Amino acid sequence: MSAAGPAGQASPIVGSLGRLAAIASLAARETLRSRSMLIAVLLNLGYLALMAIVGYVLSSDAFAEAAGELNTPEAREPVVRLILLIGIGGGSALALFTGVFASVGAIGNEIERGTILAVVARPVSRWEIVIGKFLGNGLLALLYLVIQGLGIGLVMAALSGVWVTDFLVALALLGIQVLVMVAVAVAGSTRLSMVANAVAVIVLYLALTNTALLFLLGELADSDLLRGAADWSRLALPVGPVSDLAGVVLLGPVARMLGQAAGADSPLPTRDWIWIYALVYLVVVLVLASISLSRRDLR
Amino acid sequence: MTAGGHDAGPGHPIIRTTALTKIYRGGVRALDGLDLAVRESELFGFLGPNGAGKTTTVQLLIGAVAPSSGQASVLGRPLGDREARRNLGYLPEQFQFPGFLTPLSLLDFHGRLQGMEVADRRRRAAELVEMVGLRDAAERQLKTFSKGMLQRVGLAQALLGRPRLLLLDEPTSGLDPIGTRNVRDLLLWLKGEGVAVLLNSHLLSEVELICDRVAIINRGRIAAEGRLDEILNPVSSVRIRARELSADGVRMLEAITASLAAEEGGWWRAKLADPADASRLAAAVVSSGAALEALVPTHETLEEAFLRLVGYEIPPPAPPRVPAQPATGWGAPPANIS
Repeated sequence: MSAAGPAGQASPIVGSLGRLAAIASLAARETLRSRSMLIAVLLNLGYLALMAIVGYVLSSDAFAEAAGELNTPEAREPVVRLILLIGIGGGSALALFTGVFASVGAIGNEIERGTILAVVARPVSRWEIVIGKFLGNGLLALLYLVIQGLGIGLVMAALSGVWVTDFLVALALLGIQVLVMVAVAVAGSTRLSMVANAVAVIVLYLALTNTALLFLLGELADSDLLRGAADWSRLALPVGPVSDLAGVVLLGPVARMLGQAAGADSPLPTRDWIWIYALVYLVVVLVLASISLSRRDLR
Repeated sequence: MTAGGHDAGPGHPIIRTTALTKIYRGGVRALDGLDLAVRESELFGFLGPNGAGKTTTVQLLIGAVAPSSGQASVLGRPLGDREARRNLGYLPEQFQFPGFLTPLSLLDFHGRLQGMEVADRRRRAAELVEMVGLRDAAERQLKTFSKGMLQRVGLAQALLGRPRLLLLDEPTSGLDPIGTRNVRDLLLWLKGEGVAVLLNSHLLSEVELICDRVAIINRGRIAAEGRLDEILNPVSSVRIRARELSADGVRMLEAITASLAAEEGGWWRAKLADPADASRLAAAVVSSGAALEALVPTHETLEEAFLRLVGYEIPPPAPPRVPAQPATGWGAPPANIS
């Protein structure tokens, strides 16, 4: 055996993809083995069971009798859409917090424990660490959302006989929302400890996804400034607007009929381009996170 | 000996630092103008007290920490360069890893980071677990390993990419004497294979046994750098046995030596300020009327040199004492010795 000399090396692009895959896969495996993931899975199963019960009750014979002559697929579709919206809305919140809690210590913990040292001594770029962690935890959260969303969608389709194609678009939008939050959590972990980052991300999320209250205050005070602040401040973390857009997509033409359905009739305007903005936002956050990590001492 | 000098010699510097300084946030000056040169195929001991800047130096060399000022190169490339990292192996002082991994899966992960192809990293991982004596535990989860076994995994990880330069931070920490001996043999073998090793260790006897050169760092600066024979005082003390050494004779010896202490069996140990004082000491014994039976020069150990160079105040030896009842033929005990 020889100690020195060139090792069998892959090409630069293949090597970089290999490093990203290695970091992502290890991040996902670590998350899967964490206690928080066990709790998330239990919550997921509980939520799926709850949604199955709700779907069953609403499509039972009693419901059909009450619906009377309206018990046709066309008549059932608005109700199915509403249940789907509530179902994947809650499911995406679970996926979002699962992804966030897996990511808030993704890099900060490794720096504190010193595990990152053996990694950075390899020919690994700092951006590969950031993107690898994002991919590992982001794709895991996305998988969680997709399994949950498809589970709810298929159960509802089986119970009601109605398949809503828009549901997949809404699910994709909620997936973007989850990925944005995971990216923000990974970015925070390049500078903050796990606890500080968790607090920062949750405060940011709660503050910037609940600006409807500020908007209503603006309505009461008839203040364009407050209304504008409520509307545009949501772009600082575009998960609320993307979620609203998912609601509009899913409820579609029946949104008006359903009145105050979640996300369908938000006092704040929805924008069709917000998902593109969210994707650009996600990329910018990851670039800033990579710069942030490359400029700090890992000790 | 040079104090941080880059003297010429066989082998090119594989690590070179010039006035390398690191000031952490809060103004802590971990390195203060570090000048260091490690050559190819060299086993280089890097010593210093806790907080001297050893770990910071290694973290700078792997690119984990950025310097505040100064210059440095590793394998001819700037600090943090990806190509340089491709050719170095690093064992942190406390090698950490996810406990659910096995030695083989950990090595596979690092092999992927290294950019090694699948077949190569599998073959190499199998070789290394064999080399560090973990073949039978290759599929066991690391969380079940003892500290010594984990250290072996860390060593295997450091050797994975067939490095030209190894940076080892306390590689024998947690190892039993057999494990320590194996690591020593491994390092000597690696040196034979052309690998340069920067060995950061508190086991000075180990460093003394295997290192070609050493550097002693103190308060962020190199206190001494060179071969052991350049760093160690050639004759730092002598042991003397003299028959019929009088009190006056003892006083004469005290005047020449830095310190003088009586030992068991009629021996005296004299610390010398200058190696040339050994002959003056012999002359003084004879001129005092005593019979000089033995004079044994004692070389400074690396530990003594280390303590001297980092400015550790060695407690003064016990005052010379003379046996109350000297053995027959050993002369009368000197009076008023303090």
